[in-house]
Amino acid sequence: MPQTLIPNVHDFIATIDPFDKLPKDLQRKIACCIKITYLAKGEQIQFGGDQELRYLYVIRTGSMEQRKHNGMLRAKLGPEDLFGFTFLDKHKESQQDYNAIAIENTLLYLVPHSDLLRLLEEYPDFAEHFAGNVQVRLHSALDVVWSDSEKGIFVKKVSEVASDKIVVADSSTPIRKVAEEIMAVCSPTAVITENGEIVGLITDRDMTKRVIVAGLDYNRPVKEIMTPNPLTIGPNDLVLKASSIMMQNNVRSLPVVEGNKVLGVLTTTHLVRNNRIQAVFLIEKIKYANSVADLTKLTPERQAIFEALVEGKVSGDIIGHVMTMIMDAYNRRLLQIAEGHFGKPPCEFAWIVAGSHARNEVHMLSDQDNAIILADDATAADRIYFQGVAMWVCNALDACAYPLCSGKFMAVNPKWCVPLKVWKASYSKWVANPEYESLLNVTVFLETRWLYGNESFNKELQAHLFSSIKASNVFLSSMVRDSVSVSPPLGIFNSLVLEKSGENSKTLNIKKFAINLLVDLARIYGLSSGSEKAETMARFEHAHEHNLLSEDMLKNVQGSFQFLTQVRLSHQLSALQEGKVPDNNIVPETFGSFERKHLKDAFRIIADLQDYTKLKFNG
Amino acid sequence: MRLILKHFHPLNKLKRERERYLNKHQVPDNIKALLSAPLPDLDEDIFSLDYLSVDFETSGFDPKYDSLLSVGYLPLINQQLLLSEAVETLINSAENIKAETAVINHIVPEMLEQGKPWAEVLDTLLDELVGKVLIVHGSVVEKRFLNYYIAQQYQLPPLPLLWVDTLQMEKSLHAYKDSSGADDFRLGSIRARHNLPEYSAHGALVDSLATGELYLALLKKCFEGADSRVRHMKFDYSRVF
Repeated sequence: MPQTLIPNVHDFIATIDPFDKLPKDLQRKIACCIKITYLAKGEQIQFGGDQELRYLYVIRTGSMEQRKHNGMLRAKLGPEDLFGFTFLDKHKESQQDYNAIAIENTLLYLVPHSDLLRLLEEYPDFAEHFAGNVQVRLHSALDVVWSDSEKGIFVKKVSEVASDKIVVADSSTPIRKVAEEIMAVCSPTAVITENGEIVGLITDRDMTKRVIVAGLDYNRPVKEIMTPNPLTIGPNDLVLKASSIMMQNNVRSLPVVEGNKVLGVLTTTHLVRNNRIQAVFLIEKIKYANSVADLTKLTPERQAIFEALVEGKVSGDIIGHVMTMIMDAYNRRLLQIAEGHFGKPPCEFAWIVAGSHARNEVHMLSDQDNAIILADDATAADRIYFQGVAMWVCNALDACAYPLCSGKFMAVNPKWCVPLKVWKASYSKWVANPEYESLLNVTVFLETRWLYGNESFNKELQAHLFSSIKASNVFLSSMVRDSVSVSPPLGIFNSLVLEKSGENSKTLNIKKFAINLLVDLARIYGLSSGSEKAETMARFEHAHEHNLLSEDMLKNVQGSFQFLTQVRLSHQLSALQEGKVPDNNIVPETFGSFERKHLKDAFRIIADLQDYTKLKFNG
Repeated sequence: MRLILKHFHPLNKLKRERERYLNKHQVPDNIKALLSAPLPDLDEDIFSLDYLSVDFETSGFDPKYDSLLSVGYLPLINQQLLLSEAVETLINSAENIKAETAVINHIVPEMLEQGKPWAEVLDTLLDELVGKVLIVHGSVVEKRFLNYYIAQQYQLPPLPLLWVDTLQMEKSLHAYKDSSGADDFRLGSIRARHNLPEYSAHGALVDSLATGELYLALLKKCFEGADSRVRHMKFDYSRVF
C-alpha cells in the first residue's frame, strides 16, 4: 500500500476490533485488499452468493440496518461496525440470512473474503478472530481480555500449587518417629497408611495439641492420635475447590492424592504465598468475629477482594464462587452469633439461601435471598423463636452491606419461615398452577442451597420440586413463556441501546436485558433436566449432557454468559473505583468497538436460544 | 430528430474527434490503444463504466514554469475503488520546486530524487487509462500537465479523452438551489457536506481516493432512482489552454 494511504485507511482499520489484534504487517496486507464503495440512503447491498464476491464489510461513515427476510430488524450498525462474518463461513449456503440496507449515505470498506482467507492461511494464529462462527469469535474475545496467565490462583490446578514434600507413615509408626520425619522433610503434615491405604492424617499442630499438651507417650503408635478418614484433594482439582473444602471444614492442609498414591500436600500457606487475594484470610476473620460490629468492619476488605478479582481478570464464575463463599461465611457466622443471643434452636430447621446466592453467583450488588425450613413438628412458639433469629440475622446482613431483598424473599418474612410440609405444598401449588404472576414471584425459590441447620430438609424439598416438575405438563412451558417475554437488545448503535422494537434507550440494563434472560433459560434447562447444581453454566452443561442442548449451543451460551458477566463486573468495578454506587445500567458511550461487537453477538445468541427454547417447550 | 440529437450529443462529437485525431496524426502504439478503445454507449449505465480517479501534485499551475511532482490514481470498477491497484509515484524532475508548495505537499527535493522520470510515470498512466473515464477534482491542472506532456513527449495536440470533474458536478448541484453555505468548493469541504470522512491531506493518491469516493457519492445523488444512462451524464468536455 502506498505510504500516503496508511494514515487514512490502515490506521482506521487498525483501531477496530478484531483488526486491532493483528500484527501491523497483516493489518497492512488486509488494508491493501480493501475495496471502497458508497451506498446512497435506502440502497441495499447485493450479497453475492459466489465465494469470490463475499466480503467482510466495515462501515467508514454512515449507518446500515440488517433485516431478516421476514422484515425483522436484526441489527443497526454505525461507523466502525463490521458485518458479513457469517458469510465467511465456508459451509454457508449462498442463501443469506439477512439484507443490509443503508439508512444514511454510507461509505463502506469491503475486505474480500478470498483475500482474507488467503492472508489468514499465512497467519493461522489470528484466524479465530474472523471466524464465521459466533462462538469461536466470542471465545477468542474472552481469551484476548482474560488471558490464562492472569486468571489467578483459584483456577490453577492443585498440582501447580501444592508441595510435593509430604511424609507418608504406617499407622503403627511411633509418634516420635513421625514427628522427626515431619521436621526432616519440612512438611507440616503426614499421611498415615495401613496396608497401603490412606487411613489418617497428622499435622504438627495435632502433635502439639494431642501429644505434648495432653502429655501422651511419644512412643505410642501414631494411629492413636491421627485424624481418621482425612479429607483429600486430587491433583487435577482446582485450587478453588481445595480452598473451599479447607474453609468449610476448617482444615489447614489437604493431602494431594490420586488413587491411593500420596503426591503432596496443599496447605493454607501455599494459598497465601501464591495468592495476593486475601479471600482466605477474610473468611478466617469472619469466622472469628464476635459481633455484628466486628463483621461490618470487614466490608471494605470484601470490596477490596472483589476489586482485586475483577482487576485480576479472574473469570466471572470464579468471582461469583469466591464472593459466595464470603457471603456464606458471613451468613453462617451471624447464625452462630444469633444462637448466642437467642439460645439454642427449639427444633430442627434448615437455613437456606436462594436466587443468586444459591447459584453461587454473588457479586457486589447482590442482595440477600434466604428462607427457613422448619421441622414439620415446629410449634407456634418455635416459629416465634425463628422469626426473632431471622429478623436479627437479616438486619445484621443488611448492616454488612448485603441489602435486604426488595421482594422480601427473606426468612424474616413469615411466608418464608414455615415447616417443610408447607414448603412442599407451596411448591406443588406453584408447579401445578404456574399462573404468570405467582410464577414470577417465586422463581427466586426455584434454586435453593442449604447453608445451616439440617441439610436434609433442603434435599427433601428439592427432590419434591423436581418430582413435581416432572409430573407437570404446564409448568416448564409457562416458565418459558415468562422468560421469553423480555427480548435482549439488538445491539449498541451510536450511543444508544437498540431494542428489538426499533426503540432506543440511553442505558443498557445488562442484568434485566441480558444476564437474567440467560439465568432464566438456564433455570428452565436445569429444572427440566433435573440438575442438582444451580449455577447458570452448570445448568446448561447438565442440560447438554442430557441432550437438551447441542454442543454448539452450549458453547455459544457459555461464551455469551462469560462475556456478559465480565462486562457487568467491570462496570461495577469502575463504579466502585469512582466512589459511585454500582448498578446494572451501563451507558453505551463506555463501550468500544470491541464490546459493541461482542455484545451484539451475545444478544443474538440469547435471542436464538429463546427462539429455540420456545419451540422445544411449546412456550 | 432523434438521430440528429444523438449526432450532436457531445459524447458522439468526442467519438468523431478521436477518429479524426487518429487519422490526422501519426501516433505511437500506446496512444493508439488509448484512443481506439470504445467510448461508452449513450444507453450504457453510468454506474457500470470503468473509471480511473487521478490526482496530480504540482509545484504550480503552469507546466511551462512549474513541475509535476507526483501522480496518484486508482481504478473505480463496478462502483468499487480498488486499493489493491492504487498507484502513487513521485517524479524526479524537480529543478524548480517552490518552497511554499513543498510546505503544502510535503514533498521536498530529496524525496523527488527517489522518484521516476515523468515519461515513465505518465506513460504508465496512459496505459492504465485505456477503456476508462478519468475522474478528477477541478480538471484544469491535470489537463494542463497532461497536454503539456503529450506536446513535449509526442509533439501531439491534447488527447481527446473522456473526463468527469467532481468540482463541476458539485457546483451544478448547487446551481439551481439556494447556494448558502456552499461557496466552499475545496475537496475536503465538499466531502464533509456529503458526510465523507476527513482524510489527512495532501498527497496525490489520498486526493485521488478522496475524489473517487466523492464521485461515487455525487453519482448516487444525481442518478439514484433516476434514468442513469450515459446520455444524461454531464462529462467534462472543457478545453484548457
